[in-house]
Parts: sequence; structure tokens; C-alpha cells
Amino acid sequence: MTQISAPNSDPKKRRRQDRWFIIAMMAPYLALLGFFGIAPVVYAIGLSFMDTIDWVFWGFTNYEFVLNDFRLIEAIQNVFTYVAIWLTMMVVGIAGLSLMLDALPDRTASVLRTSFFLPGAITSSAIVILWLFLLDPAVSPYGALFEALGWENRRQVVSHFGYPVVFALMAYLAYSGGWIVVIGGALKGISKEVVEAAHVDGANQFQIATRVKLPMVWRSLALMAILSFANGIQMFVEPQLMSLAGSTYSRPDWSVNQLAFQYAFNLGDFGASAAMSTMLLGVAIFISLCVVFGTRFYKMD
Amino acid sequence: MKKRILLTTVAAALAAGSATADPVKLTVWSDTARIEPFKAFDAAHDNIELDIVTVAPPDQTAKLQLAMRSGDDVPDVIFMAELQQIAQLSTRRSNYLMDLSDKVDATVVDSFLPSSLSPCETGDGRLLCLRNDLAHFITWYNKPKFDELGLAVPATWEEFEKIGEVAAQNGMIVGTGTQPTPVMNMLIAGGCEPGFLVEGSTDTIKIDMANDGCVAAAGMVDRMRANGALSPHGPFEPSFVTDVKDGKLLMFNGPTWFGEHVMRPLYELDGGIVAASESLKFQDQEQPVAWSWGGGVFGGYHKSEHPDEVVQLIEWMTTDTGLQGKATTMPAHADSSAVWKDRVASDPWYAATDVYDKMEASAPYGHPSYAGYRFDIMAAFAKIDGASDDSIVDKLADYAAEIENSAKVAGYKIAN
Repeated sequence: MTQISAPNSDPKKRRRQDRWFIIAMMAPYLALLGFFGIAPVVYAIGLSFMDTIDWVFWGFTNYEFVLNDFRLIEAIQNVFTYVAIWLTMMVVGIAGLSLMLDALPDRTASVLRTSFFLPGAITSSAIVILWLFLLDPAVSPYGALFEALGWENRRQVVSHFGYPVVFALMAYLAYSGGWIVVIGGALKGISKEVVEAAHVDGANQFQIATRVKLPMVWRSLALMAILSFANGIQMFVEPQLMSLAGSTYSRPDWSVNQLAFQYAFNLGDFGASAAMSTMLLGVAIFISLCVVFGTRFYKMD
Repeated sequence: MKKRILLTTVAAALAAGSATADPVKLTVWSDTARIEPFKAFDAAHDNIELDIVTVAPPDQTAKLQLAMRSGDDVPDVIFMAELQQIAQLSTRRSNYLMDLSDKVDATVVDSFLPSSLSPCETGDGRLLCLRNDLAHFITWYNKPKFDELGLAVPATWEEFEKIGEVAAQNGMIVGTGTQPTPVMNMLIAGGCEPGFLVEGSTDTIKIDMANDGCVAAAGMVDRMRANGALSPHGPFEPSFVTDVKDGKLLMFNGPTWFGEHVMRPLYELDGGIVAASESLKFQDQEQPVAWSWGGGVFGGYHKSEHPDEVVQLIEWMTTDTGLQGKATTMPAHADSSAVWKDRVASDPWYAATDVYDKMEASAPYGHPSYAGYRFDIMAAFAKIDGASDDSIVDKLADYAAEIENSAKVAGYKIAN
């Protein structure tokens, strides 16, 4: 009887082997996380309590300096206005477009999906350049519309839209295509029987989309929202690149991350920059955790 | 003084002796316009070899901070197109610039046009740079159009405003109403003080955007923006360039480099059109007050391993008459300026032979407070002006508050 023993019949031994296997699989990731994730954060936190010229401990001086900067409140308002507009556009726009595409015949849907994806192939820095043209009544395809509204130059167009709306439009164009593909994939994963059953029960396309499909992909949408949020509050490229259009549009301290950059590379104050970055990271982690636990994101149904 | 002469002689002898030895290598950071001059220096000097790196002027401070932080590839000499960099790069936190006051001979210092080195001089007697060019605002005008419309060249801003009305009636423009620097020139000419160092101080500034002259100047800009005499576009924007090419530019209050650097290459104006006149004044002023736009400077690294060569390079770049005489900008160096003058005077592209004379006559009107500050009054103006369509008069208080806040962040005290 005892001859037919499998190589790992001892459950304890097997679990130990599994654990080593898991560690081996995760090692490359952990190494990268340590070197490029945790180490810089620890370094920045350390730096934020130092005077970086004489290397003496400064306590909370850097934090005080940053929190007293008049631009901080403005930058926070700017970034949150932008994130609110952009996230709303992303969630409503992408959920809507994806659900509509899913209701179309496959071939039409994939052609449309590709065309939605195309603008996303341009990186956000290039998008800024593109928009600088779109917003100039003299060269924009919407020039006639702007002129009808009485906006005769780019400065007026930008100031009437407001920077948050302009940046939200830029970011929506840059990121929406990729997420439409992802959510489209999630919708494809819904079993046909469920949809057919709903159909048989008398649900119309709209009800199927909102009552059946949407609740089944909300987790993908939430993931998109979390990632976009983390991305959005760290915005830097778009306002920074506005200076390409000339000093009239230059906003070197529009976003919180730009302020951190200004401290380090304009004032040469790396301690203050580290303090700002540390606080920004803290906020991003806190809000992400709130969303993850608030929505019980990882809970399996 | 004797000691210095002796030292210089010894240094010269040493330099001569080592001419056959390996050349000293210097790294320089340049904007695009200064690449050829640096190359010319390299070609003319066997003892020094240059490694020229092109850096966009707005990025220079950030890149230098990074280089100094890492200790690698810090350039020995830089060109600063934006004068804020003089202030930004001479603080405890970003200490780059070399003090040239004990390295450059007094004769060299005296060879520059009066007051042209004032942006380089600090309140505590240091000399942080040598000036490449003078860039004060003068009056550029379209001579054939002036003759055609029977207009007299203005000497005051009041006359300028009247010409603006005529221009607007004829569908022409007399400048820009949005580009921060030219608009600020008009405000400062009127008496606005958007944060100037209090005399004798290195860290206390005074802000006054509410005096009568300042408000009057702002009112003039508002009226000229409203009637279209001042274009809603900046002078480098495509719409503005199109207008100019359509023959709509009647005049422009611009810096000394506006002719050679913008109207000729960018606007492609034909010969016989462009003439210049002195900076404008308000009627109740005794003489004009002219702000400047650029007028770059050269500075060196205080930890450079070759300080003598650094000084030699900076002196040559700013005072070589052969080089400066051919520049697109008005040389700050007096002898070079004389060479430059002959060139401009004999150039048939200009509609008058006295363009340089007008620049030189206007040089003493250059604002004494035009220097480098660690805050940016032009960025502050762009931010406030871009925020709404209100008149500038209504926005003066916001503007003053914005400057005060930026100055405080940059570590300045505010005088009252």
C-alpha cells in the first residue's frame, strides 16, 4: 500500500516548496520595487527633514515653507478641478462608449474601437502641441466657432475654457482610447447566456446595458478611476508644456507636482521639493486606500 | 594694481609657454544664437578647446541645478538669455556664478557702454557676469506708411495713442496687447513698479502698482487694446506675423534687437521700410523710461578648474569687436558698438541711416532697476492677464498681490 506515494505527499513540505516558488517568482518584482519604488521614497522622506546645503536636520522647516507657499492652495484647487472634470468625462464617456460599442455588430464595433484608440497612440506631450493649434482661432478647424463666440485669440480661448477644462480635454483624448479597449475586453467576458436570458425576459438594449452589463464591469471602471485619479493628481506634463506657446501661456506653478519641480530646480531647494512630494504621495495613497476599501474592491463575489 | 599687472604678465607668459601643450578643455552651455560665436572663439584660440552644449534658455536653471547636484558635467561658462538666471544662480542654494570683480580688469569693465553692466553688479559689490548686448525698448516704425498717412514720428505716449487711433481706422496695428514684456514696458514707462530692489539693498523690494502714472499707462493700454491698435496676438504668433506680412504693422515699441532678429528674418520685411526713433515718454515726464527685453550675459562657474580661461572666454565673447560688430544684437561693449553702428548705418535694408543713433540716444533711458530677480514679473503678468477679460486697470491690484507673493516665496522682503 505504502509504495504508491506521490513525491510530495507530505502537505507541510509541499506548502514550504510552494512558498519558495512564490518568492522566486516575485523576486524580480520585489527587487525593482525596492530599488525604484521604496528606496527613492525613503530617500525623499529623509531629505524632507534636512537642509540640503549644509546637511543638518531641519525638523519640519521644509514642510512649513511648503505649506506657507501662497501657490499651494491655488495649485490644489487647479488639480482637483481638473481631476473632477477629467474623471467624470472618463467614467461617463468610456462606460457609455464601451456599452454602445458592445451592442453593435462585432465588425463595426472593432473598426470604431480602433478609431477611438488612435488618438491615444499620441503621447500626452505631443497632444499638448496638437491642442495649442486647436485652441488658436487663426489655425484651428474650430476657428469659426471661436470667432462666433467673440474669442479672437488663443489667450481668450484658453481663458474662457479655463485651464482645467483644456487639460481635461487633452487628457481625455490621450487616455480614453486605451481604456475603451480594456472595458471592451471586460464586456466581451460577460457570458452570452446572461445577456440572452435578459433579452428573453423582455429587457431592451438600454436595460441590458445599464442593469446587466454595467454592474458586471464596474470593477474595471473603478480600476480605471483609481489609476486615473493617481495619474491626475500628479499631473505635470500638460501645464509645463504650455510654455511652448510662449510666455503668455506659461504656467510653471499650476499643479502641485510643478511646485515640487520649481522648488528643486528653480530655487535649488531639494528639501522643500522632497517635503512636497512626500505629502503628495501620502494623499495619493490615502485616497486610493479609501476607494479600495470603501468599494471593497478586492472582495470576490 | 602693480601686483595684478605682474600676475597677468606671468599668466600671459605661462599661457604662451603652454601654447604647444594640451589645450584646456572648457564646457560651455549656449543658446542657438551663441553657437557660432563660441565656435569662432574655439577657432581663434589654440590654448582652449570648447565643448559646446546647446541648452534652451528656459531650461537652463533646472539643468544646472541637476548638474551641480550630481557634480558631473557642470559647464564652465554659460550664456544667460534670461536675466533672472543671474539672481537664481547666485543664491546659497544654487551657487553657480563666479564673482568676476577681482578677475576682470577695471579697463575692461569701463569699456562697456554706461550702465550696461548694472544687471551684473550686486548690492554688495560683486560682478557676476559680462553683458552681451543692450536690449532697451525703442520705437520702430514703418517709414513709407508714416509718409503715406502724413504722420509725424511720435515722441510721447500720448502721440503714440493718437497714431494708434489712425492705425485702427486704417486696419493697422501699432504693437501687441498681450505679450507680457512689451505691455509691461508701457506700464513701467508710466511709473508702475512691479517689484524693484530698494536702493542699496540685496533682498528688499518695493511694489507700487497704484500710482497715478501707472494707472494712466494701464488705461492707455486698455483703450488701445479695445480699439484694436494693439494686436490681441503676441509678435511671434502666426496671426501677428500674417498681419505684418499683409502690410498692417505701422509701428512697434520693441527692443533694440527687434529689427535684426525679428522684423528682418521672421517678418521678412522689404528694404526701405524700417526706421527707428527714441524711446517714448509721457507728456509730464522729463525724459523717457525704457524697460528692456533680454540683453543676455555671460557668466562662469565659481568652481571651474580653469578660472583664467573662463575669464578669457567671457571677455572675448563680450568685447571682441570683430565678433560683436557682426552680431544681430546691439553690443554692450562700446568699441564693438561703434563697429556695429557703421554696419547698421550703411545697411540699405533700413529706411534711415540713424537707427543706431536712436538706440544709443535711448540707452541712458534704460531703467536702472532692469536686473535679475528670483521671481518672474512677466510670468505673474501672464497669469493675471490671462485669468479674465477685465481691463488691466482693474487687474493692477491683483498683479501687485501676485508679485508680492512670488517675491516672498523667493525670499525677498517687501518694503512699504
